[in-house]
Amino acid sequence: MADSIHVRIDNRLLHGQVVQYWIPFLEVERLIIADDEAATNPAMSAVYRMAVPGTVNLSVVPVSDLAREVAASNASTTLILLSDVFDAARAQTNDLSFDRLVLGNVHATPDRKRITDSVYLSREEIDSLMQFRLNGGRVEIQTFPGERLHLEIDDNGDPKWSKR
Amino acid sequence: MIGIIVFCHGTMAQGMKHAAEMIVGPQPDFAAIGIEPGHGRQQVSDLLDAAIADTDTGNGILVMTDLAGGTPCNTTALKMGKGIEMLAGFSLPSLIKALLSRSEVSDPRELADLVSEYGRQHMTTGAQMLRACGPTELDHG
Repeated sequence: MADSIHVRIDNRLLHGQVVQYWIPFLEVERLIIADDEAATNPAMSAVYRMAVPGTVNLSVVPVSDLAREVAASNASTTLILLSDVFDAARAQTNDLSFDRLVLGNVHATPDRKRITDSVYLSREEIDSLMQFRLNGGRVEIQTFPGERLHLEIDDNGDPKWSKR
Repeated sequence: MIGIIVFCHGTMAQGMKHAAEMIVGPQPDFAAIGIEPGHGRQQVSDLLDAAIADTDTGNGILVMTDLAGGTPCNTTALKMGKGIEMLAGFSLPSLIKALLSRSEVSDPRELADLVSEYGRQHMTTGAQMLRACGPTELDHG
C-alpha cells in the first residue's frame, strides 16, 4: 500500500498543469489514471504514456480496478486522476479508501454551475461531495498549488466553499 | 500547401498568429485555437476538428502546440495519422519557418522535422549572439 495518496478530479486527466506543476510539486512516483474510456482506448493510453515524465510509473485502469491497483503499489507518493465526481464515488464503492478529494478541473456543461474558473458542478455532484464530507472526508478545490477552497456545510446544511 | 494550426493554452495561439502575420503578412489555411479553464476533453477535441476542417487543403496539416504533454498536444496526438502531424514546444521563429516552408515540402511529417530542428537552433542568448559577431562595444566580458 502506498504511503501518500492524492486523489484528484480532472476531466483532462494528464495534461500540462499536472505534468509541469503537480507531478514535480507532489514528487509523484506513481500515477494512476482511473478512467473507463482511457483504459479501453489504446490510443488514449498511448498518449498518456507519451506525455508522462520518465521518472513516473504510470498505469491506466478502469475505475473498478483502481483499489486493486493501489493495494498492489508500494510507491511512496501516488497521484490518482479521475474524470469526475461520480467516478470518485464509484472508486469508493469499489473499495478504494481515501479521506481527501481534490477538484482540479471540472469543465462547464449546461447542468453545472460555476464554482471557480476551472470547476463547475451540478446539483447531483454537489450532493455526492456533501455525502463524502458528511462521512468525514475533506473536499478541496485546488487547481493550482497556491489556491485552496474547502467544502464546508453551513448552518442550514447547505454547501459553502471557504478559504479558511 | 500544407495547412498550419497553432494550438495552445489561453490566447497564446491567437497572439502567435498575430505576431507571425506582422512579419510575413496574412497567410491562407492558417488557424489559431486555444483552450481555456472550464473546457472539457470533448469540447477541446471538437475545437481541433473544426480547425482541421478549416485548414485542410488535402495536402496534410501540421498542428503546432505549445507544450509537450499539455492538452493541445495530447488532443492532437489522438488525431495523428491521415496527414495530420504535430509538434510540441513551438516558438515564433519555428512558426515563421513553417509558414514559409510549407509550400516547398509535400509531407507534413517532413515539415514537422524541419521546423522542430529549426526551432531548436533558434533559441539563443544575448551573450551567444554577441560572441558570434566578434568584439563589439556592447561586450562587457
